[in-house]
Amino acid sequence: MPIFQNADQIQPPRAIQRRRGPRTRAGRAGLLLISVLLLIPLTLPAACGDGEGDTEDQAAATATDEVGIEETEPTAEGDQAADRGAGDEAPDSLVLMTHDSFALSEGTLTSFEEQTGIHVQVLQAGDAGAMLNQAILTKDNPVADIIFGVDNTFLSRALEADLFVPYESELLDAVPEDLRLDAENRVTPIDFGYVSLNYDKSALGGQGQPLVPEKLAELTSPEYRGMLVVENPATSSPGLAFLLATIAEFGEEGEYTWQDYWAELVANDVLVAGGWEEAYYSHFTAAGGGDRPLVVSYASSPAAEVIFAEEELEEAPTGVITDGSFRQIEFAGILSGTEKEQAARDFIDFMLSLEFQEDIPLNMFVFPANENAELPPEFVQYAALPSEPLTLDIVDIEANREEWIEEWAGIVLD
Amino acid sequence: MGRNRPRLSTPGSSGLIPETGRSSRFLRPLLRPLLFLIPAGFLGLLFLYPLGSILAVSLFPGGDFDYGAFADILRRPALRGAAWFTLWQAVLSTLLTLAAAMPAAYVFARYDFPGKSLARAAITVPFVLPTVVVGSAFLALLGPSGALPLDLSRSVWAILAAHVFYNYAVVVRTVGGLWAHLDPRAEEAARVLGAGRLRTLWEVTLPRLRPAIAAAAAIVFLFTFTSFGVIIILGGLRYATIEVEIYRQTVSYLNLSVAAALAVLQLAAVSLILLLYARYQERGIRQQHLRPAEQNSRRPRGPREWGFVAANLGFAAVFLGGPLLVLIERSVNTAEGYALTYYRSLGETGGTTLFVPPGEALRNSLLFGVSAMLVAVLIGVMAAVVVSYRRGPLARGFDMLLMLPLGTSAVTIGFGFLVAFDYPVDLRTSPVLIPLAHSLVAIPFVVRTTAPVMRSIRAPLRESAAMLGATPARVWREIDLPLVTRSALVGAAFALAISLGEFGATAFIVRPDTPTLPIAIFRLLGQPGSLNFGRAMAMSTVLMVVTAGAILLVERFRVGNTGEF
Amino acid sequence: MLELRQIRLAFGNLEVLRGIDLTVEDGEVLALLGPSGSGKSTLLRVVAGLQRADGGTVLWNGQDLTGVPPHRRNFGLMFQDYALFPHRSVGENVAFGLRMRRMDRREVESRVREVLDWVGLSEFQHRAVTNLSGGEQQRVALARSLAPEPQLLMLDEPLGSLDRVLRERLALELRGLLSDPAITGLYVTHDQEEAFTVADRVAIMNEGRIVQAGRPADLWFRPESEWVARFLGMRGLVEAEVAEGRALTPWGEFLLPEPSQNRPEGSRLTLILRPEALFLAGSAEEAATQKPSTLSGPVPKIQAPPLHLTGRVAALTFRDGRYRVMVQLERGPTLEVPLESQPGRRVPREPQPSKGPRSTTAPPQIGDSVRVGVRPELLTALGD
Repeated sequence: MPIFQNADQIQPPRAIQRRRGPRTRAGRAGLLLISVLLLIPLTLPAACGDGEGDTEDQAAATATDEVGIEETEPTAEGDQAADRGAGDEAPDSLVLMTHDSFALSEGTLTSFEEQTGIHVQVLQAGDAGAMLNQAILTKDNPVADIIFGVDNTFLSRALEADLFVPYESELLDAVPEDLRLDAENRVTPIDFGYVSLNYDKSALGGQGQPLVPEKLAELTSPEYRGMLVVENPATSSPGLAFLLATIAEFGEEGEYTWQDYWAELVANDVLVAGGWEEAYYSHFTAAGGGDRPLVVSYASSPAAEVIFAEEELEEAPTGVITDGSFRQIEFAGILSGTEKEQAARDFIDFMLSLEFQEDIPLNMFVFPANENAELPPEFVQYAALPSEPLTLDIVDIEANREEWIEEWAGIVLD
Repeated sequence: MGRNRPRLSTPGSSGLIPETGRSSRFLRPLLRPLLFLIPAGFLGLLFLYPLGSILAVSLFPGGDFDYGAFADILRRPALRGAAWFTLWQAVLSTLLTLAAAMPAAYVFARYDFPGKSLARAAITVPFVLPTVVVGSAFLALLGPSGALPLDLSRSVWAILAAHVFYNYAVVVRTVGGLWAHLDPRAEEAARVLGAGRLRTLWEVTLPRLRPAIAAAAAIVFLFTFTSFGVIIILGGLRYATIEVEIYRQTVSYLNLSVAAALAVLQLAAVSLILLLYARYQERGIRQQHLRPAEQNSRRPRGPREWGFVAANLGFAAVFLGGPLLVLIERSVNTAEGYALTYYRSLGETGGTTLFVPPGEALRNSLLFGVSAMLVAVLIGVMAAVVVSYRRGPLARGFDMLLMLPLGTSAVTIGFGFLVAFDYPVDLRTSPVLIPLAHSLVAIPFVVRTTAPVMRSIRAPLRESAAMLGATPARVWREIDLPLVTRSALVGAAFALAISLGEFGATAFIVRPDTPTLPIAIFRLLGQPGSLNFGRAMAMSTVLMVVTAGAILLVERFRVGNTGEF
Repeated sequence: MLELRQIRLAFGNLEVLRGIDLTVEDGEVLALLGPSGSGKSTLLRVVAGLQRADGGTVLWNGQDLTGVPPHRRNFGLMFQDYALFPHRSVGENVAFGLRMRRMDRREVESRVREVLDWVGLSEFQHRAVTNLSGGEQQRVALARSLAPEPQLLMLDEPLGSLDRVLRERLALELRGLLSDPAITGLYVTHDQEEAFTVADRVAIMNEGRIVQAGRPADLWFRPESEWVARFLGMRGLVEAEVAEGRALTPWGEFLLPEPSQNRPEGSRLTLILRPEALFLAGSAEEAATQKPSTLSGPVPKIQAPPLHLTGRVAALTFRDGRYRVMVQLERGPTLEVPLESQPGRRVPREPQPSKGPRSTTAPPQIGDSVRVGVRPELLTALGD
């Protein structure tokens, strides 16, 4: 994959070009035909074969019924596809495609249904990267009306893929300007969170213990040798965010670059885990049997630690180092194939409404985009809100993501 | 001997037995082709078609073939390295698993001991556990601050150990299934003829077990060849399989053409291996005297035999049971000491859809599991019949095709479903795809456990049944079915386990909100908080117990009045 | 009645059956006897419908069976290794064919008991078949084949894997079972004694052809070809020239049997010197003192053979209560000669080496020169 240094030189990536491939129905029917034809040479001789195997009919008899069942299995989604075709007037359902971490309070979607008469069906499509891929692959015939959960690290790719119908919600006024990354409003910011370093309060800052580091740069100091666990940016979203944070912090040019920083982290015995679960639950001292008091997690993690503690806690067992936090913004967008655009707009409005926004923190452990939304007390008390979060231009991220990760891997491996 | 033999009324004036069953006359010509067409159609529709679709979409951007993607693979040392690592770790994992599990296969086949069926179900449990959970247990034992004094967490040994952990049951059950039916008198004869124990094993037993050993090895190889979760958690940065690269290229880089080129590479390698396997396997076909398993096993006698049994069960208990015990221990080790707090709190979802009520997860898991098992057994047994009774390149090709899903990237298949199934009926988001995707992975298990036994059935058995008046269908039901039931049930147990463990493409299928036990575990593990971790461990324990219980139930199943074998 | 007409079958280039014509009458047991590879088992499979022939027809009571699948022929087939169903008990094995005929369950039950009782296995009904002895398995297999009353019972080397004593006993038992009531049967074996014991008629097969068929005695006494004679174990085959009612052979001269005495002088024929046609006529020394009698008049039995062969004792065997002497002819092969045991006189426990003259009943010793007499009435000529 060629690397483009400047945004204006970016060519449409292959994933987008592909839709000019055999995506027509005729093309697909052809492929189906070829798959079936491939089987014929296998099938015919066997079917006409005069082997000894006279004794197989029983299984076939039972199996015929089975396949019959498969073929006639009711397809709820098929019905919805038909619904979507019914035009924009009073649709009775919407399909929301989202990632596996999507969660709300139990009554929230019901409340939308009560208000509008529209039932929202949630489709879960893996992690954020897998979900975006799936949305791009089904662009010509989308499986959903709305997608939620595209973040700023993938936003540029999503916008290039031309997935969305622009919609400017009136409630966007209540959303801070710096969250609204697309001027055309093809996507609407719904929430944001921070990937931040968490530390174990029982292991740092106490008597005879190293001080809690305040800056990213301090992590390379020998005091913190063997204390940090990060996630692999190639397989983990917070891992990528942390890499981007270091790139934003130390830059690509000058005397001291992010590459230098990582080389020093490696020299200081940084541990790289495959994913957040592993880093947090297997290597972080505060959460289990680990031996690393510093972990790349979220600014909201201490709040979750309090809420999901076994017994009531006065104080969170972990703390957040706000310096070097990378802001992840999650967006929702109306998928361009939808035939329920008005209902989809209503749902975007609902997502920005206080009811939905105030439901976000305790379900997804991120911050609501709507400034007027009130934070739950646990968040106010325990979650950190970094004052100067790091971020990178979405176009830069898109253009350099792969190169950065490969380069990072080179540094960490050597 | 009595002298008078009473006569029956003579059948028909011609003396022939009249044709029975009106429908069969019309159906019969259709049935044999159907036996082939149904599994072939199933695979064509659910495997070849989506696979072809996604590869076409990815490799022909703009309608032209993308050579660049292939050039890309060759150019990048990381990708070449991944291909090499994939191959050698799979070979090594397969050999290690065989070495570790063959003695246990013998123990289960030849000896009776208290709790045997429970132990047999229990060794299948590791199979269903999500890699995140197993990974955490492995790290707890082998990690830097683990219980054991050695840190293997970033070495290839941890990967190999996890692969043996996962696949131990595959060898024990597949090989043990045939072994249990082999008449031990051949070994006894060899011993009498002066062959030592090892020589007997090498020259008599192993050749007779060859089809089952080859089958188990093929499955373990494919599983480890496409290993993903284990590699991500235990492999660190240094080790990546082609599967991991496909995932990275797809999900992190959105680089579909390179991912597809890697998938083609993976398919080519898997096909080559399968081709060799099929050739090898065909040469090994022989009919053998099979006996009911009950007659071949006995209580161990003397300290030597008890010692052997105990050593193998002990190994399984420590090696498989160790990590499982860590999980169970964690599920009851609360802040107030050992308690059932986590289990009690499983039901408290706190009103958020993030946490799945265990009942719902259990229901969904069992629903998918049982459907996947039924589909896999039906299709798999039909396919096994075709594979067992036919020879030559066509049967070989079909056999290969059956195994291929096991060696194909889950990402590729999952995305393939998405690209392929929107026309003529939109099935892309149908929950039906989930058990079907599971069964795609499970069918090779059913075929590989059943076909060796089916091939071993001697023709005279079927012919005598025919001579006694059994129609071909009846012969199948009365002879083949009971003789393969037990091995088919082993396949069924694996199918169930595969589905309960959410193997295969499902992670990459868009699905409506139908959370299963593994998904419930993932969601709990997705949030910080000691309660969540404890609950995830409790949910994992539930998954283990459900799996062991379900497998025990499945294996108790007997086909009607056809007797036990 | 089973009729086979011109059955032909080839596996690739190998012609296994080359135009078989055969008839088995109702109630008759016909044995197919032949060396291994002669095609007899294949012929059985063709009759059973398990193997399709390339040409020819199988008729049952005049009806062409082509296209009738095995399970509808109502024939029974007992396999060489019995092919008992390992997953079923003895009783279930026997009941199988009855169930296939949709017989009422109670009837099945009583019929199974009846048949098992008949083969002497009534105690075994619930036993596993995998733990039976060879003889027991054979009887279960027989019971299983007979329980549904097949129109034709075929047995493929049913005693092949058993030891000799058991085989002889079971052959007799089978004979009894098959003859009362008379069962139409086709019996494949390579063992002539078995065939002769069990069957009413025997068809000898070689290289895909039936070379001779007939009642056991006919075959034994009137083999039509040298191959048949040799296959039946006759070693004393010799080319002879007719000269004055005598046979001139390379081995020596002896009288011709009655039917052959009218042959023209100088004609040639093949004579069979069976063991029963031979006897030990004393030592060669004694013979030297005896004058050969004239050729006129009937030849007295046993004593004073007019003509004899001479040879040396090569080996002695004891079987079925009598010694057999293997005599190496001076001018011919080694022949078996029975040693007459005379009523009232005990055969000595062991052939004692003795220096003095021996009684004729005492077996000669290895190396002794002996005279072998020939009984012309027991001589047969090939093709007679």
